Amino acid sequence: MTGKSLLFLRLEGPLQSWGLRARWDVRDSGEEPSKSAIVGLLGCALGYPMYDPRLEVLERKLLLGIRVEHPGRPLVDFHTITGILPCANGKDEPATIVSHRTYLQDAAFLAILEGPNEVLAECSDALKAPCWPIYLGRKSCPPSRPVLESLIADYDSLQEALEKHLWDWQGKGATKEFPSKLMYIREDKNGNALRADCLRVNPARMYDFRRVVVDWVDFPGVKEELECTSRA
Amino acid sequence: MLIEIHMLQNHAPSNLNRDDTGSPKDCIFGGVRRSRISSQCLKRSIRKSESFSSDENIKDYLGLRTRQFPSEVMKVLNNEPDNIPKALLEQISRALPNITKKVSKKETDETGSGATEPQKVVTNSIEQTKENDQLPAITQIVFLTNGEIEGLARQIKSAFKENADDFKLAIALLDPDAKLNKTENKKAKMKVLWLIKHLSKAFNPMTVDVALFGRMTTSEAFPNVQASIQVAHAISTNKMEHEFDYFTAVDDLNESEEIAGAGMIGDVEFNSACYYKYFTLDYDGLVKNLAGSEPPQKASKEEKEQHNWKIAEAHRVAALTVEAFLNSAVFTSPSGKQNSFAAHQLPDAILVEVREKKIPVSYANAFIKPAQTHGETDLMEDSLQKFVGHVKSLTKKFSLESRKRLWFTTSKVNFKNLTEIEKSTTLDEPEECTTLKDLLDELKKVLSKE
Repeated sequence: MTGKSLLFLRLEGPLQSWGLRARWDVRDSGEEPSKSAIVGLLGCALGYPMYDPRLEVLERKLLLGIRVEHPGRPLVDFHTITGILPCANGKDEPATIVSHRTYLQDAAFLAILEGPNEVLAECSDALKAPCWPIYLGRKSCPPSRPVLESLIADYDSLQEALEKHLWDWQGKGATKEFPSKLMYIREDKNGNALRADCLRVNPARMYDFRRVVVDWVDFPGVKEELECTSRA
Repeated sequence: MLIEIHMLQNHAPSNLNRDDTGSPKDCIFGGVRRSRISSQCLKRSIRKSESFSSDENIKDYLGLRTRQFPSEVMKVLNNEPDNIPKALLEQISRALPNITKKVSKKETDETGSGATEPQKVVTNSIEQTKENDQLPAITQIVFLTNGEIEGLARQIKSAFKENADDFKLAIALLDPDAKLNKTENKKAKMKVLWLIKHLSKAFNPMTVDVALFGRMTTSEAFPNVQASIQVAHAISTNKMEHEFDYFTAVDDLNESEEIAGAGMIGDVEFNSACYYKYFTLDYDGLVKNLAGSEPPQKASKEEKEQHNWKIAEAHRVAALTVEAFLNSAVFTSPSGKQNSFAAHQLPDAILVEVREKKIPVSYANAFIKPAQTHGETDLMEDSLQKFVGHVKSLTKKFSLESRKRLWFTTSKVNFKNLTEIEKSTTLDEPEECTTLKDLLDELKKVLSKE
C-alpha cells in the first residue's frame, strides 16, 4: 500500500485521565486525550523523562487525530493525602489534603499520528519495547490492551484514516448496538476549535494552543470479534 | 523487566474505602456500576502494613524513620571532628535541623505542592522537642539509613575542608542564634545552596518503600523519585449493590421505660464485592531507584566503582522487596470500617507474569460483562473462569509474551487443556503453584537470574 505512513494507537482501560489544567489539589480530565499526554506517552516509551527538551521537538514533528470509539463518563475520586501543613504561627500541624481527581470511565480512543517516517518508526519500535511501563494519563490507569496497534500506510491522509479505519472497543460485547456516528478531533491549522495542550517544556508547565477540527464521521464498520469469553 | 501481578479477592460485606459521603467508592465499567477500592488506598494500606514494614528481609532497608537525624549526625561528627573548631561544631548542631526546613515548605506522603523560597528561618519554627538532651528534631520524617548518617557527617567535614569561609557563612545563616548583617545575609543565601549541593552527594536517602511507591516533594534536599510500581484501582467483577445498615446506639444505663429509644441512630453503607486487583512493577526502575543516580561521565573511577557496587546491592534488595510486597499485598486489606465489618479475606487467585517488554496489560476486560452466581457456579468461580478465558484470548490475539507465568488458586479453575491454537509459543501453561510459598519461591528463582 503506498499511502501515508500513520501510527495507530488504541487507548483503552477501565479508567483513564487526561489532565488539562490538572495540578496540585484539583486534577481534572479532558474528554479526550490531549496532545501533550500522547507525546508524553511516546516519551515514556522512548525514555524521555519529564522536562526533557526532546519531548518538545517530538511534539512539533507530529500531527494528532483522535477518534472517540466510546466516550468516557467522568468520575471524581475523593482522594486524601495525609501530611504536614506549615501554619501561620510557624509550627507544622498534621493535616489532610483533600484532592479531587477526575477519571474517564469506560472510555476508548483511537489515536492516529502523522509525521516524518523515521519519527513514526522510532515511536513504533519504542512502543514495542518501552523504556518505562506505559499508562493512560495516570499511573493508576493501566491499559487493558497494548497501546500500539500498527504503523501502516493504508490511507492517503489522516482524515481518511479517521473516516475508514475500523471501529474497535473491547467492551463491544457489552453493548447492544453500535453508534451511528463517531466524534473525532483532528489537528489542522485551519480548524474550527482550539485545544490548549501543546507540550512546551517549561517549569511552569504552561501549554501552547493548537487548532483542531472537531467533527463526526459515519460508523466505519467493526473490527473482527474478539473471542467471546463470557457466558451468553 | 516487568512483573505483573493479578489478584482476585472476594470480600464479605464491608466498606473498605469510602468517599466524602461515606459511601463505598464506585465506578462504571462496561456500563455497569462496580465497587471500587482506590489505587491510593491499596498503596497506603500495603505500605503501612505490619507485614511490609516489619518484613525480616527488608526491615533494615526501611531505614530510620526518624526526625532525630541532627542528633545522629552530631554524634558522628563529635566523635571525629577533624579540624572543625568547637564553636563551629556547636553552630552546626543548631543549623542542622534547618537544612531540610530551609528549602522546603511541606513534604507529604504523596504529592507536594507550593512554591519554595529560601528565607531566614525563625527560631520558633523549629519544634522544640528536647528529650534527653537531644537536639531539636526536624519537623519532617526523613527516611535514612545508617550509611546516610555517616555519609552526611563526612560531607560536612569535606565541605569545611573545601572552603572554610563559605561553610562558616552558610552555617551562620542556618543557625537561628547567629546574627548576620544585610550584605552577609545576601552572600550567605548562595553559600547555603552550595552547601546543600555538597551534602547531597552523600545524602541519598533511598529506602525500599520510596523506591517502590515514589516520592513527590518540594524540597531540594530530597529529590523526587518516580514510583516503580503502578497500582490500578481495584474494580469489582460483579455488579455493585448498595446496602445500608441502619444502626442505633443505645444508652447502656438507660433502664427507665419512660426514656425508651436510642441515643443515636444512623446508617452505614456497605457492600460485598469480588475485586480484581492489578499491580505492575517496573523491576529495572526499582533497581535504578535503589541504586541512585548514575555518576556523570566525568566522575572519578572510585565513584563509578562505588556505583557498580550500589547496583549489585540494589538487585539483591529489589528481589527481597518484590517478595515482601507480594506477601503484603496478599495479606493486607484496607482498614476502612473494619472494626465494624472485619472483612479480612484472602485472594482466591494470583497470576504473576514476568515480561521482558514493559507493555503492561490489565485483564479487567474479562469482567466487562459482570460476573455473577448462576446454577452451581459461585461468584468467585465465575470470575475465575472469565479471567482465565480472557487471559488466553488476549495472549493469543496480541501475541503477549512472558518469560514466566505463575498461577496460584484455591479453586479448581486452571489453564490446563489448552487447545492447539492456544498452545502457541506465547501461551504455555502457567506454572501452577500449590501454595503461596511455592509462588514466592518460583518468583525468587526468576529474579535471582537477573
